[in-house]
Amino acid sequence: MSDDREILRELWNGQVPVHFVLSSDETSNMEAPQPYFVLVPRQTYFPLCLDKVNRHFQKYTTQTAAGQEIWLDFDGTPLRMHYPVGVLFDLFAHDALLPWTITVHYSAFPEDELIHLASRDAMESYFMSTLKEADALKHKVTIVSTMQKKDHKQLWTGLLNDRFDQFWAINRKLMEVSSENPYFRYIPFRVYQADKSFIQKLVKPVDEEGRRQTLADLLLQVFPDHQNRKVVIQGVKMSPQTPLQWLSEHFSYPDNFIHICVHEK
Amino acid sequence: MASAMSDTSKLYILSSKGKVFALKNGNHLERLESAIEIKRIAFANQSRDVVYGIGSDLKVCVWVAEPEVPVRQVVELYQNERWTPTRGYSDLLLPTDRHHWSDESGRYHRPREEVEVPSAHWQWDSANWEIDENFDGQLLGPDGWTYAIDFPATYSPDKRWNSMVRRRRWIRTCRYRSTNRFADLPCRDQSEADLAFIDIAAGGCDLSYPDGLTHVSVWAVSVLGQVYIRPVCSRTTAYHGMLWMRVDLPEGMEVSQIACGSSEGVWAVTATGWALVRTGISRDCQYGSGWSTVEPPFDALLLQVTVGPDSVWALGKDGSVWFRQNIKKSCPAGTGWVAISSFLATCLTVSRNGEVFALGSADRQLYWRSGVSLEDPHGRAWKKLSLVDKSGEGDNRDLWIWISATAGFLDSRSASWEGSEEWKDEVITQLSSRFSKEMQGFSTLNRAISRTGWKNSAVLKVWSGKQAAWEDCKVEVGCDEDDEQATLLTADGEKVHISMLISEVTAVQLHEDPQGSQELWIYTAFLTRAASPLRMSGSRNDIETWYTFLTECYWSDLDVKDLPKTDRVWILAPLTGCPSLSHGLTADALPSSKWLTLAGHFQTIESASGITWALGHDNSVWVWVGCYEGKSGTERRVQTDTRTVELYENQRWNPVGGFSSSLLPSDRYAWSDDAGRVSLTKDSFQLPSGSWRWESDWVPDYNQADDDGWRYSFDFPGAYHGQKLATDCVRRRRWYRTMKVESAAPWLPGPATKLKGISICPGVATGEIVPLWGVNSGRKRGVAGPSNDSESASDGTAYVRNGTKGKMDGLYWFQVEKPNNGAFLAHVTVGSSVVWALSQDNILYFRQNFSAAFPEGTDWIEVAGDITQISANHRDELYAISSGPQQSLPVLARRTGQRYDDKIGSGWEFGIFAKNVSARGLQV
Repeated sequence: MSDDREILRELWNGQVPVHFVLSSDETSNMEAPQPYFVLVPRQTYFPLCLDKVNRHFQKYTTQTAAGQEIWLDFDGTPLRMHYPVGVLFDLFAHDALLPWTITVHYSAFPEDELIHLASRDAMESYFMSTLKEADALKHKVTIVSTMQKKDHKQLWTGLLNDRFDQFWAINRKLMEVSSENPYFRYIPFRVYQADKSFIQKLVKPVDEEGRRQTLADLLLQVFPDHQNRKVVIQGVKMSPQTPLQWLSEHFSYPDNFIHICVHEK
Repeated sequence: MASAMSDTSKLYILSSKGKVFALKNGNHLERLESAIEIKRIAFANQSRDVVYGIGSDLKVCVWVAEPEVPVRQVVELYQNERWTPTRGYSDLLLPTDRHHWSDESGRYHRPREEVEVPSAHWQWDSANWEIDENFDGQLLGPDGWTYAIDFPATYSPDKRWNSMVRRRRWIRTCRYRSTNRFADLPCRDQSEADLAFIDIAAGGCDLSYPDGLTHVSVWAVSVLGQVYIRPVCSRTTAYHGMLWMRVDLPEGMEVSQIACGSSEGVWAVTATGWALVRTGISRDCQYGSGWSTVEPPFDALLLQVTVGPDSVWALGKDGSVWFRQNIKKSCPAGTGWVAISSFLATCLTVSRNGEVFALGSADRQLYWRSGVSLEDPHGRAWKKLSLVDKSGEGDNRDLWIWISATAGFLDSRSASWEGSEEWKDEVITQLSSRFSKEMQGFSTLNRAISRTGWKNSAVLKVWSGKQAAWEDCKVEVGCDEDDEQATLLTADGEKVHISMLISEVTAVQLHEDPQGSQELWIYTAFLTRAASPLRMSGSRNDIETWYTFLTECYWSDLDVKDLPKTDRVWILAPLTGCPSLSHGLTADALPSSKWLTLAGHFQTIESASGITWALGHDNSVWVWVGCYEGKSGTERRVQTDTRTVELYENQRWNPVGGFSSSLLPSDRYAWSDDAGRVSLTKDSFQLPSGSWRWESDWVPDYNQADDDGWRYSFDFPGAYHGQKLATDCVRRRRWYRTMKVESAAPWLPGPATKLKGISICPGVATGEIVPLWGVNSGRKRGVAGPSNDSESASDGTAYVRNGTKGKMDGLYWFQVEKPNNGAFLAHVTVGSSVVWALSQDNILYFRQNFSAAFPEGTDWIEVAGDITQISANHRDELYAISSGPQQSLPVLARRTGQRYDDKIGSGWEFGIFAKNVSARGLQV
């Protein structure tokens, strides 16, 4: 069992209150749609939790909109639904008033900004491929490939069902390090800034001299300009002294990446 | 300045090939280029980077790093003249006068052309001799003459009518050129050139000297075991000093090693393995005035000592590490030796700021003692430091043979050997503020994802008591929709074997048998009463996965958030020694009490007043730090334990073949235990469980034995001795092997003192000092003094009786008689108004008529047999370990039927299997 297990659980239980509103373009003028309030887990992805939202708004939408792919925007920015919910929140709504107001659209899908991921199958294969990428970064001999098919399934259903124990029963194998080799090969991470695509680099948890690398070292590799930036991971303003290995073991999203949101000060 | 400091050498380390490396910047090594092979090193000065060494020619040499300002020395000589009426002042001197050119004293003739640099390591800096125009701060004329009535006399710059002689000082500077290499020290004469040394120590850099300069105290040991000092090792002489001076030793003593701290402390080890302390060292007396002898530890002779700013550490000849207690300025010899863990070393050193380093015997790698502070001078644990060789010479495979850090100031934090934990406190604060910001006030909203039921299943082997065999079963754990109830059932194909709710489970434990096979044991109240937990086995991987998974379900069903440190009963599982603590202990039904199992392997445990200590098989102390309290360390905490097993090889001498294993029929077995009663073989020792690993192979014990480890005697059993005498007909040797277990567990190494037993005073309020008593494991001492979280005078009398556990035969209780049948008491425990005792043959006795007014009681009443351990608490409850109704594994028991006026009780109720219990933490 991992140390600091309470932190894992606390992170897993993190949810953000969301206020979904239907875009005015979509209403059929019959009656004003009721807003929809819901708690969305930070660890999940929007395509996995929009069933109820969909059902709620379907009756207000125009005929043409029915059956079209749902997409979301916040404050005019279309949301990339293949980012974890927590990442989108930290990136765009970290300082916003709660609940987080998100506009629901059915028509005019912004093809040049978003990719089609509304189906669960598409989301699952995207999730699994990200997870495998993280695994390959962390371990010379990948762990995912030694797992059985049902273990893969259990990771996904654990996320789908919001079951911490179901997910972590398998995920702990991906996070394990031995006492002989207490570090991952590379730290899987992505750095996000609003209106830019994410940055990903090869960063090791210890330097050649065996010194433990911290978040500050990672940021210096991504932003060599020493500018002061606000760094948020999993909704937490992270101390630059936090060691990368610990961060990776405890603050990764279910896809095993640390998703780091950076705000210019 | 800061960057310059961080680049200085912190410690010097010597390889078996005679190469010297400096440890800089955390953990990187830099080789000191040297043409000669070095056998010993002593780090003398950090800011100037000065290291003394002994070369393979057994001569002392010194390394001085190239300084920013060259090391200069002024060479002087005096020109003397006498006044005569005819010639005025001239070199025409009287026959009794000094030479025209001389040294200051005038005793030696120093013709100017012949004066040379002090040694080959110096070169002239100025081209010519110059007249010194400076005289005691006064400026003289360009001629620089000073006048006097006669030689030697008081010189004055003024020429008077009676100034019959004059002299002037000529100076020329030279510069030290042998920087960045080991330079040999100059020899004054042949007898000094013939000196050969085996050890060198340098220190004293924190002593303040009357002249305001920084001197280095240099001590050396010659091959003849004599001690020498070298005065005037300061910057002006480029740390070369002037000459060797012998220091008298106590009558008949020879020294084999010497150590010098950064301030007053100087210790030496004698050829016989005793220690010597130099006394009388002060700023006015750099080299002290006498010696006092210090006994070695009870069962070890010393090999090496090392002196820190306020501590002394020593190494036994067997590699054991010892700490000298109570070293003070007023008491430089300290008061006693304390054994430090089971770690074996080959060399020790203490840095200028008290950090302790060692070379491990097993791997000859560098270790650092973590947690050494003024409050806890023993430190916590040895940590291996991985060193990076920047010079890339690939010498990493060299074994390290010596280390010296005497002058090094090492900041363990900046070296990142033990990082600060402040970031983690910040993360936890931030995380809880995330919760209040994002979730508070919104908790009534619907969830976007409802938690749905799911099932986990696997095929495992399940023990069937009826069939007395393992059966393949399908084990399923299913969680219901929206939580918190899970069911566990074992199904044999279609038929349901056992079905239970997770909420019924009372304990989930990992059990390991001596053959190393792992089982998962699940208890419910029903199964506990039947003394047959549900046992599941399978591959190691499967069992561990399921153990984690079921524990997760069980803990989350109980909604365990954090574990309060008080009001718990602690038990240790049989065989594994894994600790469990009670959760929701029921007053009336012990079997339905729930247990939370933690990681760790222990022999005994004691918990009271919010403190929980456990002892390993090697008598090491471990302190429970609490689980998941957020402040647990970044590095996985590792709990270790070691055990040593032994057997004896016995042989008898016969005239034909000498010693052989053909023994007389009446003799003991060829391979036996100590007493010779039990036949043993090396293979008869197995690891107690799969978590244990052999740490060594079988090795003979050479302690007080001949070169092959044999000890001789006239006959079995006899007094054995290490040398064969003519009358010796038998011999035996002891073989031993150590095993080790390591597990990630929430325990911190406690004080380094080894304890056989502990007792913690119950019922102490939070924030107050908790008296804690221990029985030292050293063979020499019986009961150790109080050792608690801080020092305080505790209510001695009550707790001595209350708490002293461990080795006590009947004699110890001189105030109270033995039970009538003469049984020897081995163990007592005291509640608020009861006293219970346990005899050596596992019989439980109750002390009758015990009261506060009459604490002796009147007599012992035999209560029950087959009890192996007892623990009473303030509620006067008695918890015990019974060999069990089934004679299989020991089981937890609680005394029942106690009444206010009859504390003896009438029966027992039994709980889960356990080998050790502490119930003293339960509150009234």
